[in-house]
Amino acid sequence: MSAARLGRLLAIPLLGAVLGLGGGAVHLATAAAPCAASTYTGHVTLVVEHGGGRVIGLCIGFDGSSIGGEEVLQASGLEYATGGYGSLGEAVCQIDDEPAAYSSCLPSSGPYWAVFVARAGGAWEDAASGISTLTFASGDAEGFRYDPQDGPDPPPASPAGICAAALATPTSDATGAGSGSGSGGGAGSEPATGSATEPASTPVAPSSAMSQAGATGPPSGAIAAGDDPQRAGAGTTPLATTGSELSPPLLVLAAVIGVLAGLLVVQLVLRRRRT
Amino acid sequence: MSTRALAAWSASGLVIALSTSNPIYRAVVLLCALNLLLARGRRGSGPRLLLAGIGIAALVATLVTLLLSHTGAHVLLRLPGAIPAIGGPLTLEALVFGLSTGLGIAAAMLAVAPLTLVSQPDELVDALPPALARTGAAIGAALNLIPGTVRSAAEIRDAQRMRGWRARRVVDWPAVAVPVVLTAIEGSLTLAEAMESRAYGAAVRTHFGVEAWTGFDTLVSATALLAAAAFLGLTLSGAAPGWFPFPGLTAPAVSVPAVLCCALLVLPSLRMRP
Repeated sequence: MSAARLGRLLAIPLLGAVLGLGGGAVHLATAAAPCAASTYTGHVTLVVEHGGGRVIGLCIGFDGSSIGGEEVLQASGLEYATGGYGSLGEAVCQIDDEPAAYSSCLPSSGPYWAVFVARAGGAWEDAASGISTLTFASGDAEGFRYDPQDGPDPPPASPAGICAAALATPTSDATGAGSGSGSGGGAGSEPATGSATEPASTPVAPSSAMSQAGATGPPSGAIAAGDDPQRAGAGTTPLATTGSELSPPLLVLAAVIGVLAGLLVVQLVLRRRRT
Repeated sequence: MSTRALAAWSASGLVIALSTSNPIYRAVVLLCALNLLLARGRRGSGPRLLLAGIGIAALVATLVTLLLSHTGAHVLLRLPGAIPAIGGPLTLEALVFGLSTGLGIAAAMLAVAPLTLVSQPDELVDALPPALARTGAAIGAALNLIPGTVRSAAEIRDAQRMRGWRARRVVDWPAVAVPVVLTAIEGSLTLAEAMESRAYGAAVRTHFGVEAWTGFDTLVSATALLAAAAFLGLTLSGAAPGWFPFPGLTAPAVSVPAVLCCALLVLPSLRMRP
């Protein structure tokens, strides 16, 4: 085979890689984060709706392009506990001491914590997996509702305006976890108004044998995702991220797929010539 | 390329394809396997039949999941509830999960396909450890009897038809079945005598030619096994999460180390068959 032909054949996988990278870049450069003020580069709204109707709304600040679902809960300072469900990730068993005791995170009957996500100011949607595998970009919202599993199944209260109000109100929280508060707990106003008070709850050690992630968290909504060394190397990115920056995992994936597809074309051409 | 190295590669590909529910990693394994089949497949061992079979298996998996799983937020179609099993909503989530399942089946089948499409049957038996050589040879010989029996049944049926036999009722079939069974027994005895006359089972199996083990084989085996071990570690630790489209469709997560582990399986494809 001549050098020119070999060069043309090798150009195919390279072209595939370039096209893959280009496709990834086009895909990733579509969305923009709405919250861009304050000390932190990104903000995610957290809404927790208790079984009795009490709603806690918080604005969580973080550095970087995204923050994990569990990190949001950890940064809120709310007490919580999780249980592992294999490749689906961690399910939330307990938030803010509700329920007081449990034997299963997701009982076949009886109430449980349902997880919701709202992307870039959109409507609430059911989360497809546990909070440990969820990733949020700035402007997204994470919601929890204590679902009684009987009667209607509405989403949590709207996250709209919580971060805007929290960012507009000066706060002494130097690490950026701005906060709203609950309506039923007597510690602030409705989430929509987004006052800058600390959450009403205080973390306590839950009595379950399952993993007590909340017990190791800070006593208030006072950490940023980038400050957690244990989470720094997690490195997973959803394929359809809405981040405003180019995501290296997607670029690597696009390049790998492009190279493999290009090589496949080369192998097909060479095999036809051999036969 | 040594058959043992190929077996290590196939085992690694199979482990990766079956240990994750994430279609991204399955797709990378599938692409690597296709590359290997095209780069090192034997002449005359066209994978068209295999690819057709894999396509049918993947299609069946997709349809079964779509028709039997009525879970998901996005309803595409509603079949009447009176239809047993498949009646109810057909959802986009079930369709996508079925496609992912089909992709996993295709990746797993293509991962082991090189053992038959790249290696010769005798090379495969040679690659077995000495303790399994006799068992492997016996199983291989027994499996060879299946197509022979099918051919024999067709020939006997044609011969009986020439004598005026017609399959009208079940009681007519022994006219074909009995000769087929007798021919199969006779063929097995002939095979056993042939193997015994060649000293099968008398001593350690000898080899006409010893397959060479090169540095490239070491590289391929070590890379594949390390990639599978690393991928398993990433999966078990949660760093390479799986994917589940229910109840609402979401995109699968991507882990760079896991993608690179899968992509390492392309290594044997980079060296053409001499």
